[in-house]
Amino acid sequence: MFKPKSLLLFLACSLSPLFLKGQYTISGFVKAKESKEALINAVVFNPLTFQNVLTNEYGYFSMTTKDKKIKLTASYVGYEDLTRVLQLEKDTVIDFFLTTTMLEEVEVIAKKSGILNNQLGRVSLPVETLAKVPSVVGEPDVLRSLSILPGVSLGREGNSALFVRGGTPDQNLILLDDVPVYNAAHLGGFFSVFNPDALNKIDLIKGGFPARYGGRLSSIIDVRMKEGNQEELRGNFGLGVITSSLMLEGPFKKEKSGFLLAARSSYLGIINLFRKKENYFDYWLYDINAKTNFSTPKGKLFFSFYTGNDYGIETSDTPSSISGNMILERLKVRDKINWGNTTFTSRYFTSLSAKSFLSVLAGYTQYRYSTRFELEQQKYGELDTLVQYEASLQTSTISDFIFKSHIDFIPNEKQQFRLGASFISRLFDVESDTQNEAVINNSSFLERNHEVTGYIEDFIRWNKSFTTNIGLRWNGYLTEGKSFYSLQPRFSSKYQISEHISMQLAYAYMQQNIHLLTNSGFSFPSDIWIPATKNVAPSRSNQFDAGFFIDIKNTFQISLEGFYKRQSHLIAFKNSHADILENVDQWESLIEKNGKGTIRGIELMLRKSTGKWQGLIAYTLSKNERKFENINFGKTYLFDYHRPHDFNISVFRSLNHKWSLSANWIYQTGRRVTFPVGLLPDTGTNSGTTLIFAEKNNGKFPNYHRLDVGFTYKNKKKGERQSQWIFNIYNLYNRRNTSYFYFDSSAVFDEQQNYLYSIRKANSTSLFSIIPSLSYKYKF
Amino acid sequence: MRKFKTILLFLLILSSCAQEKSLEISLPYNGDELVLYAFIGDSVQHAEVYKTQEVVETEIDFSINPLQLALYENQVLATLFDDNQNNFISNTILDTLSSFQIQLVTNESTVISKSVFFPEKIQIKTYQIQFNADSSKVLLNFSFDDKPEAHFYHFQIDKYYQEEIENRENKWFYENFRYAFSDENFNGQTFSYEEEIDLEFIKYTNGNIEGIENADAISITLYSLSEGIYQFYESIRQNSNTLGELGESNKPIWTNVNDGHGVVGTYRKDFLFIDF
Repeated sequence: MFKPKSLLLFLACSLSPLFLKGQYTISGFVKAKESKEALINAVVFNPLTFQNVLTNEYGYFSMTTKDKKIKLTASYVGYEDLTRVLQLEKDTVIDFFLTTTMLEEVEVIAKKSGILNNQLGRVSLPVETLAKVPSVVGEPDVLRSLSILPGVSLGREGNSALFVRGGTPDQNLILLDDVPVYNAAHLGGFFSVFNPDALNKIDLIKGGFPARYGGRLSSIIDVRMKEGNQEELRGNFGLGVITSSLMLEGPFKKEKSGFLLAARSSYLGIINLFRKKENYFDYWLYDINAKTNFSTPKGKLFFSFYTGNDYGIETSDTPSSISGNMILERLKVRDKINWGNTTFTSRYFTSLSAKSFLSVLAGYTQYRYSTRFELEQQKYGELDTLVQYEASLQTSTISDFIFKSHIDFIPNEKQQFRLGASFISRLFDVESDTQNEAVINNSSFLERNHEVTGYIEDFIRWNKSFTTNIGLRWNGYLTEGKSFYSLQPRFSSKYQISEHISMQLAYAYMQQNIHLLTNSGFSFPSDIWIPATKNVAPSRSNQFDAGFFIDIKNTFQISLEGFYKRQSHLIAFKNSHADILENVDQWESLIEKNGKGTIRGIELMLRKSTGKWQGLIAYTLSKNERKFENINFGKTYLFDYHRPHDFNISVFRSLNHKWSLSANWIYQTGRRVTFPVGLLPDTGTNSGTTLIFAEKNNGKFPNYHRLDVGFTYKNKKKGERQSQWIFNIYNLYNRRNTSYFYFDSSAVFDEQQNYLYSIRKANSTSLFSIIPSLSYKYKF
Repeated sequence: MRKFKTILLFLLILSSCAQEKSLEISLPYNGDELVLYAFIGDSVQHAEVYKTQEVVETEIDFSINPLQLALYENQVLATLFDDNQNNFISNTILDTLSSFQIQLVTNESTVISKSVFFPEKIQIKTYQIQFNADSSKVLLNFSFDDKPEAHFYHFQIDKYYQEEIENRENKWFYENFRYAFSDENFNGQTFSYEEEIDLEFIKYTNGNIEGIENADAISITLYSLSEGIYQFYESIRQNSNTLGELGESNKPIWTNVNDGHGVVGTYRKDFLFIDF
């Protein structure tokens, strides 16, 4: 078990290399040559000594060496390696500007960076790669595409909520430029809010969590927007089946400041603006991303902004009962729904010295949901008209003010510290007003709570082969006048067995101070975030990870990872059909609490990210269990999304200089479901029946599999101009995967149409059959 | 270009193999299992026995031919039930401090319930009635003292209309209202219940409506139940709310019959007859 004293002693001992003398520090940025965009997690390494460092989230690196002459190579996936030889007299600042290979259809030269930046439980994929994965209706969805990775799966077909290593979607912390996005779904989960045109990079961290990350149990999805091009004006526009998009980026002042502006919008809402009728349905969604950056002599200042919304409206005014020409009854219905996120981040970073680096951030995030429903029934009598009226207005908002800061300090070649702190002030505001004739019901929940966090990370290079990252995170959480404190140790280590083989171990203790009240596996906009309280404690998890990484001929990367995760203080609905919003003031009485979860698994991934054929094969073997005192009679049961086998093949192939192919095949064990095991007669009768349900989740749906294929036709024009046609086929072989089931009875007759007997069977219903789509993109 | 054509051909073959039929879902079935419903009172005991059926079975037949249905008191055979067309009845005076089990024996198998105990008898403490102007309705209010321990209640309100009918009882009753609940929300307090009862009876003669008469008596029966009865009906009630979304959140049906289904419960009752 964790002992704070022994950890502090260990940290104190590890500080000893801090006092070494006679060294030189090389620091600077690794950036893209074309846009001056920072490259995050790029590798800077010395090919002779094998010493290497990764750039931080601002593309900054710092390396200390005793050698006077040094050779340094900067490397990043999708970019040409760049090597510089330096003669050192003093601490030196040097920036690397890497040239992309993405624009050229050439074979990428194999590089050593693959094995160097292998990190346990962490996968970084360029947005361009994720956007290539074929999607449901051709709308590229980078968040959904993460499901091609081992340990990551989608819950239900058509929904982009991710289950990472068996955790529920609310256990994923989705960060957009360092502030959380609480509901990253459009169209009720059909696709995510992230417009790929505006994004630079997505990191998924599912294990080996460094101390800088916290607040959720299962994963961190760190999404970074593009910074804005400081060199030249660039852009693109796209036309898809559901949305069209436009992106512009360019300099305010060359090499000093830049901007990014990206927007996408659905067509339906805009078209209907011009043809409003009494009976109509309208749906509109949009996303706007904006970012600016300003370089200073020692640092950079960023402002980034995102807002997105979904609006749905349905109105009808129809006679519901007619006798001859007389209207006896009329029904008027008006239903509106609206949800969306807004985030704002201002960040400043500066290098305090060659060995230290400061970042300061102030941010805001808000998720809002509202629905308004009105029903008016008019019954026309001979003398007067009887009017019946029903209405409801429900709103839910969660908003955070966030302040964060950290300092990176690199005292010598063996160590790298990060010290950080953050403060979050979070407001929950939920209100429900319903009216049925004269009966009015109100239910509301208003709560503000605060979180203070401090952490320290110490990355130590013990020798050429062995590194550790030891961290400690302290979290104080104040709600309803009660305080919760937690000390969360983090540890990861890496042993480089040979140049191409490494082994890693990690442990993390995580705490989550907010819960999501959701009564479905979908990511519904009406799901409500609620705080941990004195009666419903924060959720916690202990996670152990181990991994083995092999690099074959600098071409194939194989990773084998195992994890074991124990979660406690989980919540679940007592009755999943309870109306959450209508009873939000009593939400604590609607849930089962103090649940436990045990998830274990093995993940295998074979990845090839160079050459004409690129892609990955991922397989996950796992077991996912839950236990609640009052669910399933207190017995352990398999979780709804327990999928022992999850297999994925994704390939990208350049067919010639114009055509390329992408394909994705997914195979998963069907999700768990509670099937009835028989019929029970009602007491006192032989005719009534009750379905017998025994063990929770005693059955499963048929296994899920699907093949998606996409073709891209590129037509390169003058300069950087390029047009692209993307043709996608979702579910190519039209597998009718089960979304839900129902009972159906049908009669069987003989040739003379005499009734013989009837057959009752369980029918499977699927959501999506084969769906072709076409989209167009023009880059300039 | 040849590669391109090969890939296209491959994809064409795949899409032509498209499955258009819905997938089949096979439901689990453990075979016929015995079902036992038994309600043990301190002076009368009543039971019904059945077997389960497969969910996809369309011909409803739950009947069985039991060899024996026995009541055990403190694990010793107390009495055998009389069979009256699957309406098993025993009129045995029982010690309310004993434990009880019921055993069902058939040719195929034998099941026995878990031990159950009698709950504490709860008495109606106060009652009030208030008629409306034309005596067609009565407002009934009654109360009882809840006990600090966990209890489960069921009460039933009946109304009576008296008339002499040849070859029949002189009272016929119509069940008006019934309610089963746990006392977790008012543990240890006096519980007061109020209900407006419509006293009108539709009077039939040979199946034809003859007129409307007002009831001239009502009764309150307050049952205190063993926990199992409440748990059993509560688990059925919870599932009835999920109709149409099978498999999503169904809860197991509670049972205290080992290797079988159903419920064996005990009850004690307090009865109050209010003659107008």
